[in-house]
Amino acid sequence: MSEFTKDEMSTFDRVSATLKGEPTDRICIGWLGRKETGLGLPQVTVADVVRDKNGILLYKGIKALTEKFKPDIITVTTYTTVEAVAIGTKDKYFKDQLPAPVEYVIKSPEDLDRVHIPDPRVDGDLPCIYNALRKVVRDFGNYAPISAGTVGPFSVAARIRGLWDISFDIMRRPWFVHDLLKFATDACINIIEGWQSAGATGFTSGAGSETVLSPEHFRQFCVPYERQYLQSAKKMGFLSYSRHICSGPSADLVVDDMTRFGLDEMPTLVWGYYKDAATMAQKKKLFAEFSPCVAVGGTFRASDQLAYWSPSEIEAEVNRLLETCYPGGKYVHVADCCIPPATPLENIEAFVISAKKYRPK
Amino acid sequence: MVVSEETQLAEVLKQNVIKGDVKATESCVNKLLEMGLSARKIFDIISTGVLHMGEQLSNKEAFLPELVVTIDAFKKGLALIETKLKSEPKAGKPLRIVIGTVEGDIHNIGKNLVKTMLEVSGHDVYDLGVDIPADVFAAKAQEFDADIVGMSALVSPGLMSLRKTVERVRQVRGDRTNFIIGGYATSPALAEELNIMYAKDAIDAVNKIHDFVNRGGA
Ligand code: B12
Ligand SMILES: [Zn+2]
Repeated sequence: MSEFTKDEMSTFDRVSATLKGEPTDRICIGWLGRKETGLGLPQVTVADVVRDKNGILLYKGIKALTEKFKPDIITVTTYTTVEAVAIGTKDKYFKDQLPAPVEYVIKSPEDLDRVHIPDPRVDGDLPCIYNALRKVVRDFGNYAPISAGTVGPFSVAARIRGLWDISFDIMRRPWFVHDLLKFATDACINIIEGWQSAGATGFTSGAGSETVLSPEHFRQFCVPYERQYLQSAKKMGFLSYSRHICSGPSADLVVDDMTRFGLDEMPTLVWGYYKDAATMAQKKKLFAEFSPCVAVGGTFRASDQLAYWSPSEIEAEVNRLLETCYPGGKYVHVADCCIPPATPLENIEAFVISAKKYRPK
Repeated sequence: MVVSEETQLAEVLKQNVIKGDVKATESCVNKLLEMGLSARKIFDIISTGVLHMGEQLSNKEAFLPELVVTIDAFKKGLALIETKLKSEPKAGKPLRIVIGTVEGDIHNIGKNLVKTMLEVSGHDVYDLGVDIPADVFAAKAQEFDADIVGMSALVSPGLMSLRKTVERVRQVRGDRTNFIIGGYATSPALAEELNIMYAKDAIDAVNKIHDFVNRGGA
């Protein structure tokens, strides 16, 4: 079991030691997602933040959260349909929630000829991320690793086609799904090229749509394209990979397939939904068999525990989670999915501080 | 034991619906119609195919893509018997169910599956779609004289709207309308608090409503 060191570490050393399972001075804190509304910007809506092409509000939100909570990893993202919207999917804004897709751009195979690979500097709401990222890198690039990414090839494909329709296509015209996926993979690669030019060193992937597939379909339609995305990111020079598992009917079954992406390509964090703390601890061991530099994180439910519990309940639950998941290190403290924009800051504080204070019994 | 041609064909039809094979489904339905089977009986056969897939979904033996093509085959089969079906009497008294996803929530996959499972169980289901305000639920419950209002809620902020819907429908309908809820943000505890039904998946919804009818509901 790894022990805590006495000396205070830099965030870079802490992250690196965490991934390797080496001793750290404290638990590594991952990114905190509630930046869409920004700290100290209570009048600002989600729409104001994510539509602002200059990315100023997003930058301000991330800056405020970083200065207040001092996380060890910073991720610059907005909402999980941002790539699809840049390609032409229409979305709708709800109060205090992330935007949701309401009309999908690809209605037939011919539509695929009409759309173009989005330019992250120009298209849709992507410039918000690009411009915020540049400012975040300028201010915090020497403080912590900074990442940005996409929801990954399968989820982009599902968000330009619609989940019901792509499910139908998987069964009836798989060739079309492969065409969609080739396009989506190129789109993801082009987007992260932009993030890299803006200064990101880590890249991210993964969202809900793929966890409605059977493990066979996951292997057929998700794994090969994710591999391509990952390999391109490696060629571009990205230094780390953060892979999300979203809850969904097959999340429990496809979690083991994360190993098929190639966890040893670069230092990797596999975070998100795990059935419970014991499962996350068990998967940590499994992933470590595939790579010396891999960590897990998640399980703590962002949408109810973090958003609605009291700070003292959160603290108690964090301690319970860490008792099971911390031993052996290789654990990054993050919630299981998007932190709802309206989550009280006291709750995020309890989530972070309790982990920073944590010492094994 | 001699298995009649009709029984054999019924089994083949059910399997074709399960596989989502539209052409084979249509051909079986046409053959059974020619053999003189009632539209109601054919409906029951294709429905068992859909319900079988609902069970598989519940047991994580099938997933969304498999369900989507089963539903497609079912619908194509249904289209061939629909007119005839309307002229035949239903076995029991169907429940009138109004279903939708609550305001602020656009998730529709689970709701769509539940809707189909309730339809194949013989109920009359009115689907309002997604992002449905409480007042619309209440107005439609009144318009359709709904026995049950079904609400899907996957995002937590949608629970406020779910609670409001229960309140509004109760104002308009008193206890003539009951409720069933499902989706990630809902829970048995919430259902208990509101004194309504909860279903963890589509098959569970079918069973809960079946129990409700047996208890003398509606
Ligand atoms: C696919 C998906 C999406 C798709 C939806 C596509 C579509 N057309 O529906 C997209 C990408 C568009 C999407 C968007 C968002 N999503 Co989403 N999504 C999911 C995911 C991964 C799967 C949902 C699904 O389709 N499952 C498959 C079906 C078959 O299962 P089901 O929905 O559970 O339905 C079954 C039962 O629940 C039940 N049931 C369902 N409804 C009903 C109704 C009745 C009456 C009854 C009786 C039973 C019943 O029976 C169904 C059939 O067996 C879930 C994860 C999860 N665990 O649910 C997240 C999830 C629901 N999403 C979430 C979020 C936050 C969002 C977003 C806000 C942001 C984001 N992450 O992108 C947006 C916008 C949402 C909005 N405002 O509406 C969160 C919600 C958290 C919360 N409680 O607040 C979840 C839980 C992910 C997570 N772990 O955080 N999402
Ligand atoms: Zn997620």
